[in-house]
Amino acid sequence: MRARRVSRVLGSVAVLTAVAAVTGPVSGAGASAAAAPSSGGAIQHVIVIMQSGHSFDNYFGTRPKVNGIPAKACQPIAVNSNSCVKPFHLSSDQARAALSDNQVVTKKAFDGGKMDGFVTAQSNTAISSLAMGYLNGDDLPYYWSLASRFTLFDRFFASSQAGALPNRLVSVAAQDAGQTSNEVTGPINVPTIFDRLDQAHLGWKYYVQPSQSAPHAPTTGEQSRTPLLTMPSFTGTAPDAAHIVSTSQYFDDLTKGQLPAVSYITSSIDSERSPQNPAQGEAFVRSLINSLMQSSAWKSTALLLTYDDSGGWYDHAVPPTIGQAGQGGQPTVVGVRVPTILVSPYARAGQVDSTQLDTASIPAMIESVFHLAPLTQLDASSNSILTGLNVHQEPITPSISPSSATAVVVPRPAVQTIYFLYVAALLGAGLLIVLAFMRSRRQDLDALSHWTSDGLP
Amino acid sequence: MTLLSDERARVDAPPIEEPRPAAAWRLPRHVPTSAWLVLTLVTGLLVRVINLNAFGFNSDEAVYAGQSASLAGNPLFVNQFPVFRAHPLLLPTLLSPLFSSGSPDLRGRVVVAFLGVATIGTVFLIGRELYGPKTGVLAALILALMPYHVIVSRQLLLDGPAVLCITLAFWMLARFVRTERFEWLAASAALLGLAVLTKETAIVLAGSMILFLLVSAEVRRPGRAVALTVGVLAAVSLAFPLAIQLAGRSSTGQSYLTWQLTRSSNHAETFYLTAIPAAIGFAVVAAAAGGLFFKVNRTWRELLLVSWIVVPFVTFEVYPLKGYQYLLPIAPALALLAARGLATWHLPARWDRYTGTVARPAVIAIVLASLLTSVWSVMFPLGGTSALAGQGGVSGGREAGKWIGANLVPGSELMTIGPSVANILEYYGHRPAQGLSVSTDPLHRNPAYTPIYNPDLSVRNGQFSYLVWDAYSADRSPSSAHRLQVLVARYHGLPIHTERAGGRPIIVIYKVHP
Repeated sequence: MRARRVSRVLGSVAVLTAVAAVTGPVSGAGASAAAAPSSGGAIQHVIVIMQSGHSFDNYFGTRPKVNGIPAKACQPIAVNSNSCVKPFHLSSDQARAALSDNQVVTKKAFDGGKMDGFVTAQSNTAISSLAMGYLNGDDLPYYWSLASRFTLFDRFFASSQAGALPNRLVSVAAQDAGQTSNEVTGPINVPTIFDRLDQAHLGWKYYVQPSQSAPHAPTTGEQSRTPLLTMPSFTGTAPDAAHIVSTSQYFDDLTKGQLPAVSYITSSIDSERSPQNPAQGEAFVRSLINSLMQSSAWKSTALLLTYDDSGGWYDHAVPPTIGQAGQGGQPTVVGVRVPTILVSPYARAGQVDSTQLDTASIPAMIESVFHLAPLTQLDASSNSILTGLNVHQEPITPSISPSSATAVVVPRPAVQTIYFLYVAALLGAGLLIVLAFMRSRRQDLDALSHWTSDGLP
Repeated sequence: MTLLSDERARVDAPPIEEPRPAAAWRLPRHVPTSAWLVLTLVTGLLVRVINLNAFGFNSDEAVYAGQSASLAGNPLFVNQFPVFRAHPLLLPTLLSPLFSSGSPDLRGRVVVAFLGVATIGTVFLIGRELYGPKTGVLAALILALMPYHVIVSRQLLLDGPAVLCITLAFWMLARFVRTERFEWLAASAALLGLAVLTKETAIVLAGSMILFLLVSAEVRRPGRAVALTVGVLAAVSLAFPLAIQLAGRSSTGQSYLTWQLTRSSNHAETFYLTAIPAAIGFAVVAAAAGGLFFKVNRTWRELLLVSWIVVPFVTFEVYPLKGYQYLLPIAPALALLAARGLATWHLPARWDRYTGTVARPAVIAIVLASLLTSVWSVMFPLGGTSALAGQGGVSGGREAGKWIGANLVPGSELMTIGPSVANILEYYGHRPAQGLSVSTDPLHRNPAYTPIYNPDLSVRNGQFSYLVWDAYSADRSPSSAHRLQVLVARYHGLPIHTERAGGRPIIVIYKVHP
């Protein structure tokens, strides 16, 4: 019921902002969220990598200095039960548990703001307690390393509780177009950020990691990961369809210095949604970010790594209410908190940004960087992700995180012991040599004087 | 204290007897021996340092330099080059202050070159000890110009310094025989211990010493002498296993030992017979053999030199693993035997009067000239892409590594054909590199190397964004070179940097992506 209301809100603001959608770009900072920070021209490229199905606490809940898992966290194992499940570290197999994840589950977990239904919401009771599991820096070394080197957001929420597709729609259109699940009931026709970019003659691409090599009709999963596939305006005409390309093209574009102004990247086989292996998704993201760092585009890029929804995993943060009554919508509660990192040479290195953000902040960031008009009230009123940037700082030098194959650090031996033993051996041998010379010094001196004064006959 | 009773001890050694004083060289009498020696040492130094930095490090040099830097705590190398690898650490320990910052190469080579010159000086000392100063100078001059010794002592390898210790050890062994003083034998064994701490293969020379001590009639109490030698040698060498054990890397040492003992043959049995005589100089080999076989009055001196040569030669010939520089320890002995041969040969009696005036100087000049010709090509090589390990630097390796260091994002990983060029690029470029040819079977790979278990996957998942082809490795491992080229073609390889020599590409760095 609440999710449907969210959908109504998101859908209705789209109508109100439809005019703005067709009027084209609006110059000036005032076009986007009020008093939104600007990139000051330092950012020429925005990349959005949207992975799937993990909550903030699931990935970063045990990280120091973040709004992480509370010490007393414990979720009841059944409704009205006194027994509860405490957060625990997941094994690699457990991390791939196929948790239930849909609108009903999220509502139960939310439980009117109590946030106590993450275990009971799971339909499969055999694995329901796994929802309380978490991964740490040993499991996700690359993501934790990124968090140390760039800006980690610990109050970034999925905009919708209804699943991946609604949230991904919000990420490109600042609305969910009335979607209450991942099932597409019909063509979706709403203005998107790409319309704005086209009008401003700015390049964009939607890079998709293909799941099948042969051409085929988009599956539900593909549509939920790539919402443009639900929109006839993008699938019907060749020029627009040409914007939806393989991730292989992303690497090519970086190598050739042809990265467009805005890039969205989505994965199929490495999306991290259970039962996919998070480590594999991490490796995929690592390859994307490494290539960016190795390209000429790095120095002017802001890359946002985020997740479409929580995947059913526990998160303790109570989702806030967004939207304002009287502006064409009504207040609504967003989804569960998701991990989000801003990677850029101008990111605030190692800082945790607690600005309240949600998926609609993504189009808002693009609008702010490129001075575009907002799409809906959501992005217009969204807080800015750009608070994670400081364009006046010395740009961060890119550094590739080692892969797991080379990240094994060999313990440094006790070098003092090595020096001591070898120098002791050297001195011991030297002592014997000196002793030998001293004992026959006179004899040697005699011989020396003999041959130095003796010219060759 | 001596090995002999006091009354039999010969405190004053008998004067050195020249083999044939009457047939000595006819060189200017006013030039003292010391001047000839200085001239020899200067010559030896010049041929070892001129154009020394023409090429960057080869793989072995990069490893030893990297070890030294890692030992010194150089932040560029601490995580990239493990301190413990295959060999003992005496040289890296001593060189480490030179490698505490940056990635230098010349200074390490200069040190080794000077140690090479010290070896020349030591050969003079042995020659003087055994045959007199004139033969000593000639032997030193032969070693100074011997391409084999020049090549190795122009590189930051362990072999040059190890040979210095070995040569000093044999000098003191000779002194022991002449004086029968215990101290010289102990000092000799200690120096051999230092040689072992420089490179463990020097232990083979203990066989030479023991053989000599047991066989030579000059050694009165061979059993006691051998016991003393073994005891001192073991005591000094103990630093090697102790360092591994006490510094916390015992498993590393065991891994290397297992690998060294089980390595398969890397060269044919004829490798030494075909590769080494040319490097030593055919004329030198002929002079040494000729002098040995045609001169009948063989003494303990020749026995000492022959023992010095035979034991390592037979051992390394039998040992399946062959290395170009493994036989370097016999070079000083060969120089001494050659000098002896050249200094003592005679024309037939009817022309003997021309021996000292014309024939001997002419032959010596021809021998030295033949060496000089070869040494010239060592000093001014056309290209450093020889496929034989230990023969010199790798052309373009340093330049490619520095380009990588300047242009590739830190942490970028490189896939090379083999581990040799990976070592070089890691040293100069400070980026992790792995060789495609490294076996996935732990029994068939150097424990220091990490294999690429699935090269295709590792490119697809973005571990490797750069693939490096090089002519040097392609020559050694064509199949791995082919595999790398397949990956380059499959993953949209774009050449982003090429090093050339003589107009042809020798190192090509490709950017690849899934």
